Amino acid sequence: MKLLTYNFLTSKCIKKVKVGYPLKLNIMEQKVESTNFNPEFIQRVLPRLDWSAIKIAADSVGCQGFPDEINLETSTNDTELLQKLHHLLLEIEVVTGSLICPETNRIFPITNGIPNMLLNEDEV
Amino acid sequence: MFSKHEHRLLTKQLAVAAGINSNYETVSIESSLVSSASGIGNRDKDKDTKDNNNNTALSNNEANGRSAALERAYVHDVYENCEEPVGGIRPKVAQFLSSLEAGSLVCDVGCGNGRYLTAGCNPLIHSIGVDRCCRLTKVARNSGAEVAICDNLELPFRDESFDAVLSLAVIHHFATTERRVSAIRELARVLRIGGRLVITVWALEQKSRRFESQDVLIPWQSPKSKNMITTSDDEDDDDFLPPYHAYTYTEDSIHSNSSRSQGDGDSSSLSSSSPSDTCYSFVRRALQKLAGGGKKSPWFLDSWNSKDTKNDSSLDYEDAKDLPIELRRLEDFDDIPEPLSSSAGLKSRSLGSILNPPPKQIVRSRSSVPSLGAEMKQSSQALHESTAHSSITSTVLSAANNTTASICQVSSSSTPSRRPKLIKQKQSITDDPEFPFDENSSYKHLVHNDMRAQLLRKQSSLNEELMAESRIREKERIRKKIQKQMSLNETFLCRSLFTKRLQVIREGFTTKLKTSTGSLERVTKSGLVKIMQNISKSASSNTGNYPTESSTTISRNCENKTNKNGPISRKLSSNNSYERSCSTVTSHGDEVEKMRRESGSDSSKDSSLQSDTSIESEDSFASVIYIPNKKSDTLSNKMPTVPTSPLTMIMPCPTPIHSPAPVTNHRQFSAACESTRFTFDAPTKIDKIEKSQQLYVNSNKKIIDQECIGKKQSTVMLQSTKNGMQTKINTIITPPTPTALNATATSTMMKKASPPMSRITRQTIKDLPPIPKFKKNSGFPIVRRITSSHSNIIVPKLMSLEIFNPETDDLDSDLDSSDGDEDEDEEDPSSPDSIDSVINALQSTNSPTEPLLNNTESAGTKQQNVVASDQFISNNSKSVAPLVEAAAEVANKLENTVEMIIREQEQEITIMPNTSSTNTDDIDTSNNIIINENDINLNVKLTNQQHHQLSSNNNHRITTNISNNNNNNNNPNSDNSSDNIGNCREHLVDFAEKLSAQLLKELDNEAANKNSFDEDDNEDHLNYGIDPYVRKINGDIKNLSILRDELRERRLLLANLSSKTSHEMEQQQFCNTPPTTIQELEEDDSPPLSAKIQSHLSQNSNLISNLGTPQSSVKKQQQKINDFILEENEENEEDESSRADEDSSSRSRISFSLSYNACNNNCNNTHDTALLLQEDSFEENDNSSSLGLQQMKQNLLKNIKYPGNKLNDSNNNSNTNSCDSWANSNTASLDSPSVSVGGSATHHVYHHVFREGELDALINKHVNNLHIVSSYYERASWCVVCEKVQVWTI
Repeated sequence: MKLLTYNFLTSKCIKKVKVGYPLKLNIMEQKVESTNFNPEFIQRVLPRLDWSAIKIAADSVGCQGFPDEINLETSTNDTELLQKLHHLLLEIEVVTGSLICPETNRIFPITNGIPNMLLNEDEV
Repeated sequence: MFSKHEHRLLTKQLAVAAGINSNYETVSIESSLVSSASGIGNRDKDKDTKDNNNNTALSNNEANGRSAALERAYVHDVYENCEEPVGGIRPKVAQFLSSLEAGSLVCDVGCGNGRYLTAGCNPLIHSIGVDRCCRLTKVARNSGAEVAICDNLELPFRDESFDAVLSLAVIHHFATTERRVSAIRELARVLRIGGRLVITVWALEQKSRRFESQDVLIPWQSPKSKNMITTSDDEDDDDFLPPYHAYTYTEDSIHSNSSRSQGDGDSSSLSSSSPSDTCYSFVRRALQKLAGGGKKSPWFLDSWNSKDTKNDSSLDYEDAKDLPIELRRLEDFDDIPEPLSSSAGLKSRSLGSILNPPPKQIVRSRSSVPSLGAEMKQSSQALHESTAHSSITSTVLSAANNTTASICQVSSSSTPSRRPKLIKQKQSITDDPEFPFDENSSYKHLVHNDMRAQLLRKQSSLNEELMAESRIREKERIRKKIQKQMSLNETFLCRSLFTKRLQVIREGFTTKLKTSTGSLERVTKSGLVKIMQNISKSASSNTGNYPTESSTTISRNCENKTNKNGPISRKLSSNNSYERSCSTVTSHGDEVEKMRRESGSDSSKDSSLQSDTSIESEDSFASVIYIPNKKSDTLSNKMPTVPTSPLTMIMPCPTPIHSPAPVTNHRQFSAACESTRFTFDAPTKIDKIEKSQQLYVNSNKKIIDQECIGKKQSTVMLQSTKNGMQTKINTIITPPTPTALNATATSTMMKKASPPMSRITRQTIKDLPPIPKFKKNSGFPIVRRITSSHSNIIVPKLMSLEIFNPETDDLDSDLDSSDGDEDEDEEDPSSPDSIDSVINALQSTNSPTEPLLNNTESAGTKQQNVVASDQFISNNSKSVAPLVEAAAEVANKLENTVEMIIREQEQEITIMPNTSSTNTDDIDTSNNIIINENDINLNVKLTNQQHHQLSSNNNHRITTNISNNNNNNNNPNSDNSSDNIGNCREHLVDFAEKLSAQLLKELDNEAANKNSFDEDDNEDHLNYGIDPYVRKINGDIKNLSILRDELRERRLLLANLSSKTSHEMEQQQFCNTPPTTIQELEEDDSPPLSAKIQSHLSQNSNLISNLGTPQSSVKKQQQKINDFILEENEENEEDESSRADEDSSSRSRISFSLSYNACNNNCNNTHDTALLLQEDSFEENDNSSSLGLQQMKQNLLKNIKYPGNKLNDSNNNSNTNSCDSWANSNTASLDSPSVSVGGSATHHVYHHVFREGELDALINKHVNNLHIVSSYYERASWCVVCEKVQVWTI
């Protein structure tokens, strides 16, 4: 699971969960695959990213250098930041781990890089 | 539009960006909160709307659970276990992806193997694929795609996250419109404003395939077996196998088709699912398929050896594997919680016909026709205008809750709507004029008056006391309204109205009973004491009158034959006793039949009265309500009536023929049933008051029965009503009836010569309406509770039995008619019109039959049984198709009611021995209808005092209880009908393979049933005591026991078929040989029937499959069996090798040969070894099919050695083959349904194929924030491109 995906994942589908975001990220195993850096893509995606989740992801992965806040106007031209985001969002793969609902602590396992977000019938 | 939305998006982004300058993080969080909150708000809104209608919510939940289970079994599991072929990419989708601007986020919901994620159409987009199938996500993951596992209904993404969402070949896997809509809404949720959503669904209109129904199970051809020809949702269009359509148009299908309207998403989906049809109708299809392809080499054989034949498998579209199975009635999509309430209300109305199963069921019944359902709907709507109820029952329930006199309201509300629809009912009326029976029947009823009179008195007393002034007032109001309508009255119209109103009232009562049990209890308690007192008094007085009446009635019966009352009286009686009886009766012109019918009606009256008392004891409003009506009517037809003294009330029921009281009674009865009033008023003063009175009494009794049924239904139905499926109860009830009918038929046979009966049966069969009528019957819950207070419990029990089996009613009626029983005649009419009439008939039969049985010898009963079986077979041949459909329908309903039945059966089982020793009166556990039936059967047989008969009765009970069915029941009746059993076995095998695990379980149940049948056969021939079997219970090894039982059954059947002369010898050896393991097997196999039944009942799905199977394929199976037997006989003489070849070629034959061989082995004293081998094989099979096969081979070798005869060897071989097949089937059953064990199971994937414009309509109607940009047809799929728009709600 790429951390870009993680940025969109939520547990709000669980019954009685208001927001369910951002999910807690517990990484057991990760790998890095270098991909071509496409600044345009990052620039396009950045407005829809949740920076809090990015921070959580960066912290959990160990990537440093991410500001606490982001200024979209300035950051779009910040190539270094874009590269960091590219690395964080697209190159780091969470192979094994878990996602935890912040409200219910419901654990969504990540196995083989695939988060299992399925809910039981009683959770819907 | 797009630019507009784009603009909005940009503005929004700008706003966000502006906020970010100061505090980006907080702003973003707030936005997310807002979005999430909005989403939650919608959700809560939906939930609230559901909660508003608790009933509907419950039904929705059930329907949802059912559909979810179906999706799980036929979509999720299939994808988990089946290889999905690598298909191509839809060019337009690829174009769509490539057209996305750089940086777009795409979510492919239902990505499958991720072909669109890794296609590389657009390198500047980021695609996230999600799928519910873990296996496919791994595949996609391995291909480098970004995937996640989730459900389309709960996408784990933030709102408005993606620029584009793909839903390719996903939506058509949702079983209900509601789920489809919710899935699309979820897709729209994660789509940003201005984002595009691409939805593709299978099209109903395809070049390569034709679908008769929109809900189909498509066989999944594994790529290996199909040589790369595979079925995939997306790409299979060209590759996909053309579906084979075994579907035959029934009334249902026609009806659904007629109601179809293209362009209306709701209607289309709904139309596809006819109310009566259930999601399990595919079973029926499978049965039909099997029946149609009877002479073809059984497809399942291939599946058994699938491993070997994978490469050999040729694409035979005729092959059952390839047949798409059409599903019916998957959804009751009354309303999707949608912000636009107006649209939803409109939808619900339009959908109402489809949505409301009970009304349609009613419509299906001949007499009531469509008008009933509509009226029901209207009434319900009137009560709840704003709320759209999924099922009428739910509406009625709510109405009952709201008002104590909900019944009156319902009737009143329904009255205005009735008038226009009354015209429709005239069709049913046409049947009526022909009915002369009622008159005659009334006299016969008098014969049984003794019992009835007491009951009537009780009821009358109870009624008066229970009656409340307020109720009376309401009734008067209703009467006035009714009188107005009376002007309209044609007796026919009155009938239809009556039936409708009765149904409404029943529902209302059931609901009231449920809701306001407390008040009822109070009333009942106080009333019961009074009633008891009154009863004691009235009984003494009435009893004095009855004997005289009975004598007079007997003498009059002859007179009645000669003197046929005017059609009016007949009509009246028919009106009272529901149109069903009339329609059926009309066909029969014979006076004898009439007489029989009359007797049946009388008995039914008695039973109804009894049931009424029982109801009262149960504190049911229905009985009370009816009673007041009666009182009022009795005083004066049109005059407002005050609750009369109990004595007067009592009088009507037992009415002395000549006394004026009967007239009043008629009026009372009519009053009891509001609709009946009309009819009664017109004919009330008929020259032949006696006859009319009797008729009225009959009708009243019937009504009471209905009420009782309603109450029972309320108890049983409460659960079912949640689903809105009243039919379920009916279905449950139906299975047992055949046995009861058989018993009654036998008894009637004793009474009257069978030959005329056979003729009648044929006529009746022809006359009998197809299955849909039964569905209507199902609408009336017939479960009756028998109270200990009833001395004559037997009759009511029988009645309950008849009610239960709407489907079986046909068969039963056929049988009965063949027997020439009066009951049969009544049953026939009742079957179309209402279960009540059927019940009455059963009661009537039982009451007369018992004494007859006592008088008659067992030999006579045996002969009768044989005759009945023969007749039954003929009947089956004629009415196989409708029966199959009915069975499928019943199966659906049965699921819900299975639990209830199981309980009842348990009680019955426990009670049975008692009843057998004592009269059925002892059985106080009359709550269970099945029990009643069983009791009746037991009583009859007990009177005969023949062990085999008792055992057969037990078996019948079990089979009926299990609802496995008519065939089974019939089989036991006919000792010689081993063919039927073989057919059942074949059906079992077929089902196991097709239907997979659930079906396989059902097969086990069937096997148990078969075992019971075998036992019956054995008992019949050998007078073998079944008692030890019943006593021994093996709960641990059900499968093994079942298999063993099947083997035994086969043996028995084969023995019977092969050497009828040596039946007794074989059976004796089989059962009695101490050294043999057979006894052990039998013991193991024959745990107490009750235990088996319970276990079987526990498996609802199994029951369903069983029901569907036996009925459909009875004839064909019989034919096949005969052929097989002949062949086998010839083969026995032939060499082993040749025979083995033949076995391999025709595996179906092998299955027969197994039983046949087993029988042979038994004859040769080698049966011991064979049994051991079979047991071993079965055990091994349970453990592992492959191991079982090897062991089977070894066993075969051993067997060959043991028997000196080559025939035995051949037999052993065949046995081993069959065992292997069974083992495969067993393993398949044990395994998950979708998973193919040993390649035997064929995976079916559920599809809801969309009509043209259906998807568009669905989106337009239910998903407000999606705007369809383009809609096109591509590769057998409907493709819709939507754009999410901002919906501003002020």
